[in-house]
Amino acid sequence: MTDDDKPSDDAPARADAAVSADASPATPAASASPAPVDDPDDPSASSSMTAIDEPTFADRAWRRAQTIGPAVVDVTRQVAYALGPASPYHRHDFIVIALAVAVVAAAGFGHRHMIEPTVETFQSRGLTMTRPAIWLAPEEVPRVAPRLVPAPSPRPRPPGELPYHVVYTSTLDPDVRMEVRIEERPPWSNVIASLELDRRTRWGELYAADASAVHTIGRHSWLRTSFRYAFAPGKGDEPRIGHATELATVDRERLYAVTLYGSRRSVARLVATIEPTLRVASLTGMPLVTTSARLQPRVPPPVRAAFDRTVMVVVADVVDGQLRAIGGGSGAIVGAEGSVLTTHHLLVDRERRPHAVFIIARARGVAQPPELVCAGHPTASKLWPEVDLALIKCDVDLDGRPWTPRQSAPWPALQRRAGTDWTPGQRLWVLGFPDVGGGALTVSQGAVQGVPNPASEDDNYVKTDATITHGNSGGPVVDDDGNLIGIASAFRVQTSVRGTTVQTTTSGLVRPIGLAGTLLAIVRAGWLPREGRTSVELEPTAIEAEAEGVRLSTRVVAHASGQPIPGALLMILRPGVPASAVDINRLDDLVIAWGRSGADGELFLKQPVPTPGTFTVIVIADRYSPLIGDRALTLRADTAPYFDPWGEVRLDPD
Amino acid sequence: MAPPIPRWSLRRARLLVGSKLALVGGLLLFVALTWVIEQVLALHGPVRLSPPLALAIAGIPASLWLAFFYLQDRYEPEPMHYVFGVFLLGGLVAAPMADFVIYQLAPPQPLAQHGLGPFALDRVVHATLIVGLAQELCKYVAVRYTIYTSPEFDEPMDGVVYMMSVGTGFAVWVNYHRLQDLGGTVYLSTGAAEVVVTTLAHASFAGFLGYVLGRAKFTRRGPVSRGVLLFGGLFGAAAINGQFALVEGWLTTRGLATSPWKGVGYAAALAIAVFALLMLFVQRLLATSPFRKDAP
Repeated sequence: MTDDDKPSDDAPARADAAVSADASPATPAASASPAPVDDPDDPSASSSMTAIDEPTFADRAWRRAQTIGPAVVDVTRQVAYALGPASPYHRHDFIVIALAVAVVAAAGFGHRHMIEPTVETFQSRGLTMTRPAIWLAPEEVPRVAPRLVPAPSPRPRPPGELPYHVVYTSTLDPDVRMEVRIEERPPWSNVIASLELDRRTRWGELYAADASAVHTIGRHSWLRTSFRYAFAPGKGDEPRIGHATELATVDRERLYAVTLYGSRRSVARLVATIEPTLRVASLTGMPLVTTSARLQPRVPPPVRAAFDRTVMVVVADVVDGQLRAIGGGSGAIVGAEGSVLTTHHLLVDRERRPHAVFIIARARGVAQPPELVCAGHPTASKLWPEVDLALIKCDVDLDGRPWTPRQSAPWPALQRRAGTDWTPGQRLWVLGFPDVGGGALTVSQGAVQGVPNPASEDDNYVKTDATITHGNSGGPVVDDDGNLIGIASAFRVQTSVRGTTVQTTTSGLVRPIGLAGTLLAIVRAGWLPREGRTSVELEPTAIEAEAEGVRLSTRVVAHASGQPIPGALLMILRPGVPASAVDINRLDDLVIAWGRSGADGELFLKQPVPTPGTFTVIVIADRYSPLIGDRALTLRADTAPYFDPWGEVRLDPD
Repeated sequence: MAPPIPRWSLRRARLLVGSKLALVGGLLLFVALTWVIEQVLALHGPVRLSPPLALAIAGIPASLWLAFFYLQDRYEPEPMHYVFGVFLLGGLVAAPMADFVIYQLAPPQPLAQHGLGPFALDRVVHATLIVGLAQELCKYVAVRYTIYTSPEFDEPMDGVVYMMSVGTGFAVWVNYHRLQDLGGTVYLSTGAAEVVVTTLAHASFAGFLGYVLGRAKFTRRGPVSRGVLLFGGLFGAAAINGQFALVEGWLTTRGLATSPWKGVGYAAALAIAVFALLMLFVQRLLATSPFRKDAP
């Protein structure tokens, strides 16, 4: 068949048009309804004549609208014809289009490879990777002074020594950078929390971690953390939000961290280029532990409720001008105003010197690492080394500004169980942030194996088979009802040899909560951290006594038994000082008179109390619940000079 | 009442020529007006155009060009609503489709390492084989699968008219987005002149392809010849499109210096040259039009 024999391409279209012409806009109005007969006697007829001669806008619009349907049908049929097999013009036309599409697609593919940045190998101090080739020469990253504590200027780094911390900047976009940090392995094995502290203290309050996960690259565990931070490109510029991804790992000796900065797309592209090529020379060292994803065993709801009452406590010191996490443990929230009970040994180094700062991290969920919230100073905490307990409270945020609990989520306190009975076999739960948990909250179930011996300070522990390990120190131990019954303190490993068999048994040691009575009394009385006030002694030292007033006395006894309570402290606060304003560290300023009970429970205040007046009264005794009476004492002007306002003050056991 | 103008007459020809001159004058007036506004309002720096204003600046020259192109078909004018419909297809279907294809194939890549020269291979490939070919292909498809099958497409000249219409609509989309994407960096008179030139350029490239399309439809040659003709037209239009963008960009930005009028001048010269070539083709088509008064 020759071309001449072929039907013209528009022939069918003409036929279609002819068919559709029957319903063309020229005729439908006439064919749709018969023309009205003109009747001179019918007034409506003349009006219809008018309508025909001068169609209204609505009529014209309606007629026009009636043409749309046939036109759409017409076009659809024509397109169907053009695309259908009957179209003689379709085949070679399709090939042309297909060929053009193929060329465009191939060009796109080729273009993508043409603009791919060239790369070269980076190799230094045991770290090898591939990096973009046309970046600027590396520059040393200036060290940022810690925000939380004053620190001396770091000494200059001798070339070739660690830490090695340089930045490469893209020649195409100055906001795109790659930092390489190689330094000694951190002393704390929880590398994940250490790195989080580094980032948070470097970028400040506008730092936000997006995602963090452990990946295996080249048979080595690498932690990939994506985060956002605020920065100003130049002096006076408006701040922008930058994106970054940090790839970090450790071996037995060093920490390697490669951080990529830029826009989200730039960072993703760099990660895709660099991450698969990351290698460290040594494959030694513990793998980074992934965050626990689920709870084992099944946890009762009251125990689950204690999760957000458990915190991570990180201690840090200034090392070579930089704040570095030195260790970490756990803590139990015991006061809604932010008081946290933990172990004393966590806050001091081997020489028993307090660390520079502690940072508290709140639990966010079972499978997530905790969030760093605030910081404080061990030297402003209540330290009780005799029982290895300490009471801490934040007083600054992570940028070093004054902090109060109201600035963050509520701090729900753990409830104490009444009584101090311990029964072998009794079930208990240890909560905390051990290093093996990958930074997330870990729960361990166990039973009481040995009861404490109150007479011996060395043996005043509850022994349990629940797992307690590095990082659990200071964490709460709760019963099935979620009540705080102790503080995880230590663990012992016992090795026994029977013939050729060596057996190792690990026991967890828990400080009974009863030992923390004084610290809990401080919490209930009220306190604010003050530098140097680390003593747990509750007693004013030098108060300004009134010259005249009423001499008060009373007797302090146990509520249930009526037995006298020796050593109880009774304090009368100055007029107008409410119970909520009490700060144990400012007793000299707040107390107007105080006294301690003798062996028979009798108590005489050392100072006179002026009259008339209304006063708040606080009574504190070891192993008894503190008694705080807001405006509990009213003295009239005619009150006798020697007066016992209550007869007896009865305290409940703690 | 004036007697109806015959399909072809000297009077009609004068009317057409007068109308064309008026339209070209309107386009020049449009650019001059923006320059006057710039001077009167002392707009010495770039301005930020609101979306309606950007649409107006992109749309007014396109309307004038569309009318100008429409009047080229003097023997058998196409139905106006068909021409306008194809114009809308160009702006609302072909151009978004081209943008989508280009974005998928060559998305903006951070840290991309482009060649340093203005005519580096990657730039040429991008401008010609990706942007140019995708744009011309989308314009082609918009006409080929709609009006091409209509009985109104009944002479080779119609290919030029409809493809120029689709190209004009395409240019409205391109210009509107360029004015908006540059947000706050558009000089009013330069931007207006560039819109006028870009519209003519897109319409001329498409018209070149339309000439081939019309010839291919009505040629008596075999399918292979038709295919080769079409393929050549498509790649020819893509090549002109690509080098138009490349050279304009090269002339506009030299190192850190920007000379927008140089780019506009070059673009105008090229667009006029392509348009003049196209007009020669059109004259050939009109000379052989079956609708001429003296047609055999």
